[in-house]
Amino acid sequence: MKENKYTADEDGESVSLCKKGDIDAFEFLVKKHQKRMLNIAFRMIGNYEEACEVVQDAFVSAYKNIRKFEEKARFSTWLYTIVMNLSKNRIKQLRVRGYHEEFSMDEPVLTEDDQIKRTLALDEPSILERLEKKEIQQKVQGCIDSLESEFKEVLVLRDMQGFPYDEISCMLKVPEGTVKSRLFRARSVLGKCLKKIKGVF
Amino acid sequence: MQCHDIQEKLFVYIDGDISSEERMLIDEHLKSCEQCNKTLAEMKKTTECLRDLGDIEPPAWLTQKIMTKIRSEAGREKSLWQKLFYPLHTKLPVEAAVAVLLAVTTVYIFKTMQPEMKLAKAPLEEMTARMPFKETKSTDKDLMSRKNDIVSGKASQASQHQAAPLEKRDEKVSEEKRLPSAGTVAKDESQQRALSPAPALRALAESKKEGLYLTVNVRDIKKAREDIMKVVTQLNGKITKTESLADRDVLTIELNSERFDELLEKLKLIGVVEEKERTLDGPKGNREIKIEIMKESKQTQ
Repeated sequence: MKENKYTADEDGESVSLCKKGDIDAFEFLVKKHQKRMLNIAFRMIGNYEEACEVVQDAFVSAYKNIRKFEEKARFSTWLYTIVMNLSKNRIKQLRVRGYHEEFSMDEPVLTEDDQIKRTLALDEPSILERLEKKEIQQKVQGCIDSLESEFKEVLVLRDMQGFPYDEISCMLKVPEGTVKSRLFRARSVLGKCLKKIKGVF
Repeated sequence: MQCHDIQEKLFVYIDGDISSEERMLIDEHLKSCEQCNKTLAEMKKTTECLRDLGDIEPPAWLTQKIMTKIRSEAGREKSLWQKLFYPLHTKLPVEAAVAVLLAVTTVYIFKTMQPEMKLAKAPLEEMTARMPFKETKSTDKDLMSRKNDIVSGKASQASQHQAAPLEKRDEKVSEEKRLPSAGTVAKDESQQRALSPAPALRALAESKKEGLYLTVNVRDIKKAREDIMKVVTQLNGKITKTESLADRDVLTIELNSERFDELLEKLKLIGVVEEKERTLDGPKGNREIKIEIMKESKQTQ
């Protein structure tokens, strides 16, 4: 069953053109997948600029290795695996450099918006709502950032990107059962973190 | 069903990936269990929260930036092949390097081939080098015979003197002055002129290998020839050829090169010896010697 699913690759044609050196075909694939690539990278790393860098690197790496792509899985799956691996590498690098401060679950998350919110008049609900929503999103991202990579990746792929379990299993090279148990753990830990954020629950 | 079991199932329950029987069981439990309802609500909230984060948009420049990198990557790949095989697209340094390489290779090949070319040329060069040498030699001969002619003219006046007695051949210098009886020489001047270069050339051609070419000027050719032959046999030499010409005899002998000096000494006793040519390089052993026995004249001292 799985085999059938994988052979029906909508990018198959473009990929074979790329293998023959068609750069325009590759551009088509870049345009098609860059948004999802960036979202995966961003949710993993939590930094927009870094995520953009990683996406570029991932596409260059994919181009260099496209002849090695055996079409056992879908091209998109292969591509997301690359961006996922590069993102995890980048997280490690950033941690080593001390750029990436771990989000503390015990301290309230203070953002610039807290300051702005206080100065704003209460009779502007729409702005306030928007700011509150943005604030909550930032705090949620902070909670995600605090997770270990193996929990983060399943959350990103399943709960944010909505990939089916078999595809996640293929990308992460772990059995589906492992994906599910990690996801359960990830959700529990994230839930505990989110409870500490005002306005989420 | 225990709450703990239910909570694990709740995870699948939210995902919708659950059998209808299990769903019914959970629904039943949820009606009565506040704790599990709370957990379910939290779980739903959590996934909702994640979904609410929504998608972020890529920057407008991202595609362009990626493609710039891809094109430079593709260009680097191409450079290896295309730049080498399409000369018009090549950069100047590549062409220059190739040109220099060609030049160096050409010079190198030319230099390594030169010794072989010299070898191939060598016999030719030897020939051409010898030709003028022969010619000058023959003209020398020519000159000499002409001298003889002149001498013979003078000699004819003083020809009252008869040829000196043969016994006196050893008294070199004093007797040299004595003019030879020019009769025989003068007799066939014209013939001599015609003949003299020929044997000389032939002699030279034969002595080409290496050896000695001598002229012994004597009063009596016949006697001298016999004496020389004796000397040669004494020195373990071998007479290979005897030629009798109008005005001279030519002896061709073979002699060990180590005894050349002895021969020269003995010949000096017989007549006035002139060394015309000496090529005695190379290993020791028998060498060919040509001895020209000529009538003594005033000029040839």
